[in-house]
Formats: sequence, structure tokens, C-alpha cells
Amino acid sequence: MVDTMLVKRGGGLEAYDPAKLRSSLAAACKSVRAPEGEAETSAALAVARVERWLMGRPEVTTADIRRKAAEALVVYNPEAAYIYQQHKNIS
Amino acid sequence: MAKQKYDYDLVVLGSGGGGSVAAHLAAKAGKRVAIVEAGSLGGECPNFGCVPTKALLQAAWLYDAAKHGQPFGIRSAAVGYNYPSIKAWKDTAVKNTGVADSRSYHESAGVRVLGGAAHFIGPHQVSVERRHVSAANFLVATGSYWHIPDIQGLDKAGFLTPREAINLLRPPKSLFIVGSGASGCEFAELFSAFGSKIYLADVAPRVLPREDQEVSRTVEEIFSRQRGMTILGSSKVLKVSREGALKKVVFQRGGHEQAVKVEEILIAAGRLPNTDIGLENAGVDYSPAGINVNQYLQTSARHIYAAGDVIGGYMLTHVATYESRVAAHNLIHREKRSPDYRAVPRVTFLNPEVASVGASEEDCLRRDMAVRTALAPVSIIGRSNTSNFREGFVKVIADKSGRLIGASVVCPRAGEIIHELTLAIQYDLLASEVASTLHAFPTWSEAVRIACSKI
Repeated sequence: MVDTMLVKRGGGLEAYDPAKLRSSLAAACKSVRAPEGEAETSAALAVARVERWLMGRPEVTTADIRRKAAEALVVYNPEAAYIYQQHKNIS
Repeated sequence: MAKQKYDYDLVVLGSGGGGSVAAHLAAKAGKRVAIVEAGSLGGECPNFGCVPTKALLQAAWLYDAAKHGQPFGIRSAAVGYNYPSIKAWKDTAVKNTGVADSRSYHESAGVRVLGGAAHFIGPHQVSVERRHVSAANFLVATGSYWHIPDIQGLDKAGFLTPREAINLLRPPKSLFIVGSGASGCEFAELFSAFGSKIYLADVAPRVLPREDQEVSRTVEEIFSRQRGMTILGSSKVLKVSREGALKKVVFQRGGHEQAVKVEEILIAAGRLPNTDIGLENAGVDYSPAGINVNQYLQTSARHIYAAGDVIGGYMLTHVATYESRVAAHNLIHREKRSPDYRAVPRVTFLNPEVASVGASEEDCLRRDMAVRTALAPVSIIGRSNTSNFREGFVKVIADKSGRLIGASVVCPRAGEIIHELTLAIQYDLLASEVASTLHAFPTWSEAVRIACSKI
């Protein structure tokens, strides 16, 4: 289990939430018309990559997570990765 | 530097050569300084690099010399070795550096030591084990790590890097080394001395590809003829798999696929800078080659400097400590200095040693520089006769006016001899000035005088 704290832009802290990350990555994939199953799978694989990077890191920033998530997602869906990187909120 | 807005005036990331020198200089200048170290205090060199490898090589050379004493009337039939004892000697050498106990040394000099990995969370703040530490200035000296090439099956089959290789309890019966640079060659030398069958492979066409051609030729000749190694230049490893107790290495060479089975694989294919520390959060630009710095070792964030392996370049301990001194000066003083890399000596600890300084002949040809070169084989000097050692040479490179700009030495004590030429290049001496300087007889350095006299 990944036990990393995230430092937010304003300096506040929040615990890393894999479900939240997976949801926003899946939303990015769906926004470029990826089928739902593919979107969920891509998101899960990208989250796994991010979590491998997070191992051994007690604290990173939300900007770091966004950057690493985009790097991870580009392997599975480059278009979605671009959207994810450019947009703050996708729902 | 700054008022008490920040926890420290300077936070240094890394306690190796690139960081600790600057930390102490800044503390001596009255600054509030902390060092952050994620791994072993002292960094790579004393713990996993230079010190342990050279200690092991010393044992290898002694053993080799003892086995070959017959021409000198030394009987050596009973010479043997105990590898766990050799490893214990290596551990003693590492312990003797004192780095493991250096926390009190740093603290007594006014440098606070913080254990843990630092990660930038803002331009003036790092997180160290969730503790937020702020500083007016930073020096990033996080060093480098061994690059593992993407070879199919390598992870599954298992491999060593030099970090693990120094802790083996016995030499492998056979060893495939990926990378024939300085480290690869040193480990080839080490384990071949204790009977390992060595395959030394590189995508480059020759061993020690950054050295002059004559150096590579001489080392390859010694390795293959005297040590029985198989040198595999221009070879790319394609895949690795386990076959019983052995590992099968498939590689491509000369358009053909070949395979060998070995007990162990050693990856010595170069090092990459440790830049994954949240540099983006601090506005520091970097590339896979390292952190970008200007001529004053300042990064794109002006209050953050970088030194040592993390900026790429030579990746040598003495260069890291030199850069650390320059960075400290620039952090403390208004008038800034730039590092001078014209005369950086580099040594590969083989038998005979290989040392070079300044420009190589290939560097000069690439830059279209008109140069003069001269080579003196060591076989012509008195010391070669009294030592019964005939391989090796001194090669010097001078510009059109005869000023020395580069040199290579392959001979015993090359690592010491090179410093005369380093001094000559640093202070723009002419080859004729070195040639007209007295050199004691019978020393290996006489070859320097002879080479310079030929320019």
C-alpha cells in the first residue's frame, strides 16, 4: 500500500488517493472517446506505474503526481495523457 | 546570505564529494548549513566505488605479482588466496575512511545532518521524511546511479552492478561484463586475477572508448593475451535467460548472433544522474544528462547550485570535490568563479595503470585542431629493464606552438605520473619545458621526458 502524503499548491496536505487518481485518468481517456473498459484498464495500469514511482517516497507534491500520471498514461493513450496534463478538472 | 526567514542559509543535498566540501566551507564562513543524505554518509566513492574497488584491486595485484615472481627468483608455488578474507580487507579499507561515523564530524563543524531523501516541494523548501526544511540556497549534489540497459530477460535472470560485485564472497567462475569503460575494465582485471573467465562486451568498438586508440589497443592486447579474456567490441546484448545454474547471454556482433553461458552478469554500462528529486517544483531545468548549470554551477533557479555527478560531465570524485569548492565560493562571495576543466586527470586502475589528462587525439581531430603528438614506449627506459615490465607508453599531445594540451600514460604508477603532465597542462607549459626538466633515473617518469622531447 502506498503511504505517500501530497503537498498541495497552497501548502496543505492530503493523503494519496489511488481511486481519485484512477478516476481522473479514466475520465481523461473517456474524454478522447476511449471505450469504458479500455479507459478503466489504461487508468489502472497508469496508476500502477505511478505507485511504483511513489514507493519509498514519503511526500511529493500534487504537481509531481500529475506529471508522473501523464508520463504513465502516455504509454497507453497519448491523446488522453495530453488532455490530462492540460486540464485541471475533468469530470 | 539571508535573514532568519529560512531554517538554513544553505541546504546541501548529498554528503558525497560534491556536497560535503561545500557544506563545510559554508559553515566555516558562518552560514547555517545542513546536509541531507538519503543513503550512506560519504556517498558513492568511499562506500561503494573508488575505495572498495581499489582495495580489492590491490589484493588482486599482490596475488598476481606473487604468482609471477619466478623471473626475479621468487618461488611462488604455494601462493593462494582466501576471497572472504579479501572481502574483509575491503571492508576494513572502507571502515578506515571513517565516513560511517562522520555524522559527529559534520555536526562538530557546524553542519547539521538530516537523514532521508530530500524532495523539492517548492523553490525554497524540501521535504525530508515529511519534515519541511527551508533554505535561502541549495546545493544539489545527489550523485548518480548505475544505468541498467533494457535487455530482455535481464531482471528475471538476475545481474550484478559494481555495488553488488564488491560484496561477492567468491569470484564467479565466469563473468559477462556489459560495458568496457573504466569500471568494466577494472572489474575484468579484478576477477580475472582470481581465475574468472571474463567476457568484456561493449557496443563501442574498443575497450576504454574515451581514451586514445593506442590506450585501447594496449589494454586489449594485455587483457586478451595475458589474462585470457574474451573482448567483444561492437557487441550488443540482445537477451539473457537462465539455463540451470548458468545464465545464457545472447549478443549480436558483426551482424551475427552469438551466445555464451556464464555464472554471472555484471552491468557496468555507465551512470545516470540522480535528478528525480522534484526539481520541477523548484524551477530547476534538467535533462537525462544531468542538471543544467551555467558557468558558475548555478541552475535555472539562481539560488540553487549543483555539483558532482548530478550535472553529468566527468563523474569523478576529484571533479565533484573541486566543483563543490567552486560552488561554495560562488554561494558565499559576490565575485563568482568558473571551474577550469582543461586539466582533469583520470585514472583506470589496471595493471599497468592507465591515466590521461586534457584532450585526447580524437577530441582534437573532431575539433579540427592542428596538433603534434609524440609517443615514448616504456620499454626504452631503465625502469622497464629493472622491473622486467615492457608494455606501455607515454603519449603527449601539443598544440602548434608546442604547448601541452593532452596526454595518456599506460604503465605502472601511471596514476601518479599523470600529475606532472596535469600540472604542465594546467600552467600552459611547453613540451620542451617538461623535456628540459630533470627526471630521476631509473623512474617510469623518464618516459614523460622522452615523449615531450619528441614534440
